[in-house]
This record gives sequence, C-alpha cells and structure tokens, in this order.
Amino acid sequence: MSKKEEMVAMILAGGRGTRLKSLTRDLAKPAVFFGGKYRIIDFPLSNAANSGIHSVGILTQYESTALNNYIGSGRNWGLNGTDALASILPPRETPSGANWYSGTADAIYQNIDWLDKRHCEYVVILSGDHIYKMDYSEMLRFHKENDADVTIACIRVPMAEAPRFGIVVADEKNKIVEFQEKPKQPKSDYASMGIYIFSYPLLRQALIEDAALPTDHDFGKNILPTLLNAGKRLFAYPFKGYWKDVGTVQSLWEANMDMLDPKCELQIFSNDFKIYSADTASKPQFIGAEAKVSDCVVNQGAVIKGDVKHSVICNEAYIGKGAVVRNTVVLPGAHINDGIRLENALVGPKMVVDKDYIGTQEEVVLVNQGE
Amino acid sequence: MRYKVLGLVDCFNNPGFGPLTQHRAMASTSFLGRYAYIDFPLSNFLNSGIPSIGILCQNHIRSLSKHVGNGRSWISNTKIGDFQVLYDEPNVANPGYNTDVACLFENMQFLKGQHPDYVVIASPHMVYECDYSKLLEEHIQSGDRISLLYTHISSGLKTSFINQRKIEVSPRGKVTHMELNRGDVDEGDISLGCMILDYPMLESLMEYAAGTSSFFNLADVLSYLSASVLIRAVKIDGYVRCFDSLSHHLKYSLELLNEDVYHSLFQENWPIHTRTYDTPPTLYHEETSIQNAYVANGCDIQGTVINSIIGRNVRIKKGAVVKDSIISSNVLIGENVKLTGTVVDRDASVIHANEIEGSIDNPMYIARGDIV
Repeated sequence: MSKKEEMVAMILAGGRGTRLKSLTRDLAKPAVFFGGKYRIIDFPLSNAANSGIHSVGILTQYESTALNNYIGSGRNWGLNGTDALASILPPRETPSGANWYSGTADAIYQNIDWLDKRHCEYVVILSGDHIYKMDYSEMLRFHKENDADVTIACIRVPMAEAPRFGIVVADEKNKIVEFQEKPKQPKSDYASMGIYIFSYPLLRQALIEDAALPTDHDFGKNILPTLLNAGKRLFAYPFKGYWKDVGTVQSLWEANMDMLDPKCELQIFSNDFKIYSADTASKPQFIGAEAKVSDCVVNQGAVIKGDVKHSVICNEAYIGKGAVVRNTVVLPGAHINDGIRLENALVGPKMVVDKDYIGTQEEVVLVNQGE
Repeated sequence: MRYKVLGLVDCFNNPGFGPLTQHRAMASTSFLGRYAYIDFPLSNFLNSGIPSIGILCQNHIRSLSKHVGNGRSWISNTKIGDFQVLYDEPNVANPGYNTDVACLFENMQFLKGQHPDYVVIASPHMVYECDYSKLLEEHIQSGDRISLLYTHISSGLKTSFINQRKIEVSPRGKVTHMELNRGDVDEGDISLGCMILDYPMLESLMEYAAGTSSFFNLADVLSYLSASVLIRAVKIDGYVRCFDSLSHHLKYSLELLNEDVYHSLFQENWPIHTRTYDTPPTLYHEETSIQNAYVANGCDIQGTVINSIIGRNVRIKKGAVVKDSIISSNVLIGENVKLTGTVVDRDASVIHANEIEGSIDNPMYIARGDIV
C-alpha cells in the first residue's frame, strides 16, 4: 500500500514532432536537445520535482528508446527518492489486447489502473514540448480556491498566432465560458498552455466516457469542450513568465536564442527552481588560444577554436579554427570544420559540417543528417 | 573478471598545496575547474573493470566524503560493487600513528569482506590515465607477488617528484633499490606510489610494517623490503605529473591548455567521471574576451580571461582581467579587478583589490571565503 498523494503528474511524451523535421527522425520530441545542456523533457520533470510532486508518469510512444533510457529511474531529477516514482508508461499489451495510444486522452485512459494505484486527489497533465519554469503547486492552490473541476494554465499570445493554440474565453473571475481548439477565428488571445489540473474522480469519469465514443480522444478537441458543455467548472490559471512551445525548428532555435537575452524571463541561470538534467562524462569546456567567444551559452565538453557570437553550443560540440559562427545552435557532438561559416543555423547532433550554411532570422537553416 | 579485485586510493602522504589544502584533502581539491584529483584514480579503477573501491582517508574526511558521496559515479554495478571511505578514527589525532597501514588494520573487516584476490593501490597526487586490467593480467602472468608502477623522467627530477621514491631497476625488471628523491640528479626512475599485489601479500606487508615500526607506511615497508623481496617494476609511459605544491597545481593545470599535453593525458574512450552539480551551461556576454581557458559550467563571464582555469559558478565582471590563474568555484571577480598568477580559493570575492599579481612559479593565494 503506497502513501496517499495529493497530486501526481502525467507527462504526454509520445508525440512524433514531425515539424522538427529530421531532429525527430529517430528521437522522440521531448528528448530533443535544448539550451546547451538540456533536453526538452527536463523542464516538465524538473518543474514537477520542484513543485513537490513525488510521482510522475511519462507516457511515451514514438521512438521511445532513447527517451526511456534518458529518464531511467528519474534520479537526474531526484525522482528516485524513497516515496518518489518516475514511471515510464509506453503502450502495453493487456488481456483485452494491445493498442497504441490513439490520442492524448486515450494515453491517460489506458493508464487509469496506474493512476488508481497512486490514490491521488488531483492529476496535472503536462506535455513534453514546452520550455518554461512553473510551480504546479501554485496552480493547484488556484484550482482549490476556485473549487474548480479543471484548471487550464493560460498565457497571452500574439493574436496572429492564436489559431495555433487552444483558445480560452474567460470571465473576470477566470471562469472559462468558451473553449476553441485551434480556431480559424479566435475569440481571444488567451491560449491554453496544454497544462491541465483535473480533480481525479472527474478526470477518471470523463476518460471512461470519452473512450466509449468515436472521438479523437484528445484533451483539447474532446475532453475539455465536453466538460465545459456539461456545465463543469473550468478555470483559466493566468501564467506569467517565459513559456515557449518548441514544436518547430524555428521555434526551437528562437527559444535557444532567447536564453542569450539578458532580459529573458526564463531565468535558466538562476539557482531558484533549477532545471535538472543528466550529467555527461565531459571534459571541461575548452576555449582555444585563437578563439573569440562572446554573447554565448556554452556547455561542458565543448571545444571552441573559432569565432563564435550569439550562439548556443552544446557538450562535445567542436568549433574549428577560423570558423565563424553567428546566431547558431550547435547540438551535442557536432563538428564544425575549420573555416566554416554558419549564420542563423541549427546544427544537429554529431553532424560534421564541411560547408557554409547561411540562414535568416525568419527562416533558420537546419543542418542535419537527412536534410 | 575471473578474480576479484579491490581498488584502494591511498590518500595518506599526499603532498598537498599549502594553504589550498589546509581545509580539504589534496584528493578532493578541484582540478581543471570540473574535476577533483581523486576522479583520476577512481575513474581508472572504474574503466579498468575494478568493481569495489576503498579510499584510505588520512584526514579532511568531510571534504573527501562530500566529493565522493556514495561513490555511485565510479561504481559499475551498485549491488556487486562496493564503495567505502576508510577512516582510522582512533589514530586521527595522532599524526605519527595515523598511517595507511594503521588505516588498513582499522578497516580489516571491510578488506576481508571484499574477498579480494588482488589489490591495486593508487595515489591521487600522481595524475595519469592507466588501464589496470592489462597490468593485472601481466602481473598474474609474471608470477611475481608485487608489481610497482614507475615512470622514467629524463629531465626535471631536481624540481619535481621531490620526496617521492626514486627506484633502481635491474636489467630483469626488478626493483633493486628505493630511496627518496632529494633532487640531487635530474634524470631517473620514479615510483608512482601505485602497486598491484595479491591480497595475502598485502596482509603480509601490513604485518611486516607493524612488526617493524608503528610509524611505517606502505611506501616505507616497500622501500625497507626492496633489497630482499622481488618487486616487479612496471614502466608507465605517457603523461604523469606529481601534483605536490601550489605552484605545480597552477603550472601543470595551465600546461594542459597546450593541446599536445592535453592529448597525452586524456586518452580516447577513457572518460573521467566526477560528481554532478546540476549547474546550467556557462554564459558569455557581448563584451567577454576569452582565450586559452578551461571553463566549468555555471559561470557568468563578462570580463577578460587569458590562459586560466575557471571553476563552477564563477562570476567575472566587466573590465576584470584574469590571466595565468586558477579561479575556484563560486568566486566573484569584481569590475576592473586585474589578477595574474593567482589561485583564488572557492567562495572568495575579489572586489576591492585593483590588482593582484603573482606568477606561475610563485602564485598568489586568496583564501576560501575571503573578501579582498
């Protein structure tokens, strides 16, 4: 018999991430590298740990091997403590057969047995493709204060981008009156961040009912509108701070560049609410005698002999002599040959770059195997 | 492995770096900004497939235990392997009696409990990379009871490896004589303080030491017996340095900024493991200028860094210039401060002093936590 827990986290980490192109050809999106030393999933995992959550279920499906290995026992995020649990939950065969996860809601539905065993009152649903720091315990307090059935974390986005998101219309008390999933004509700029707190009995019931219907089994398209129409209390939790969906090559590059902005609200360099990650058996980073490095984020194990400006350089990346690197993200183990020029580029892991690539701020060039 | 091997790191009689090792063990002193010196013998053990490790700790147990923790970073299988810091509680305040031999006796239960067939003993102040699994095979093949690792120094013994054991090797590869290096000649063979021996032989050496003098350590007994017991001499080529003073700590660290020296120490497929601190990557600003440096994670560098080693979470402010120096973890170098040839200990803030100038041969030292 395990201890009763107030809230457990479920991280949806099974998506294919096709808009990241070849970066996710053989790697799940949440395992994609970010910010010099991190992987995207470090953010929800560290946030959950820092919010005092002890049990985290990670739902994996697409190219899950590297991701599953990376999560392991959860010890990199401290989730291997005595009463903690990091549980990797891929689709499985049961007496009733074997099914892939057919949607976000279906993935959770297929793990109701796992959730039942946690004896939790609340479940926070997270996704594995966002860069942000957030204290989910604050959001839970908001959920309880409002006596909500569901709380959706929301953030203001530019109106032009609103059609890419789930859009929320809320009253002055943050109560949601309308929900539009990826609307052509959005009624507000208030976007769902894909972070939901559910009271567990309600979630359980909603998932079971949805599973019996021929829907897409998706939170944004099915579960949330159904609950709203049924008169349930849905609230919008106003999030303030840095949040970025890194679902595309361009947005992944932009989020990396944001780290170089001294005014960036992500506060990745702050010791508060630290983002944890796996340590690599790297050497210290080496800056050569003829190197120029300014306005950069550089991780351990990197070797820089060239001229690098306004760029993010991951572990074991190598920048050769005379190479000129500007506004570029170099992922782990990539090797930039001597004299190469890179501008507005994102270089894939272990890529050997032997010719110049020049992109623009509006359209960065992805330098990767298979591009 | 067909036989069971125990690796021991001998933290007794490590020479130390003067003020830098006043509050910490030499073994747990920061090296190249990211490592501690003990990471090298520990990673050599791990990479050589040695499953169990004991650390013979002379003093400064807090700093040593903090660094190695439960040893998980250097153990391959946590159920099969074992990791222990071995301490001689009764003799800690009694320097004459506080020897590695006494520490081994005090921790007999641990030693016996490992049921080792062979023991490899290494010293953290001798920095090198070495695959002990090959040497173990050769040791067993040779039929000798003790193998002692040494290196040949063609020039420099007058100023380095001082007080380490100089050895003479017979044409058949046996140690015929051992004595302390007093720096009288420049060339010679020098012991690395590392031996491979079978476990009963280790117990014999301990008994012999205790029966001769309670002040004897392992090196003493080996030296004492070198004329009468066959000790196989095993030559190690490649990078070996004896880190034995503050000046050598600085000089040899900066020497590794040379790529040829770097590649002579760091071999391919021989990772050096250390403990993790969960620090973010290092941030360089627009006005940063940096050349020829090793930098750990978590730093925020605005000033100028030339030919230096920068530890974790170091902040170097605008206009500051750090040259030929080692800056330890969590140090703040304030605006426009100029530092040359200086070792700054951890948690210090150099904010009031405009200029601190030492040299590689005679470095300045700023103490732990000091504000200057």
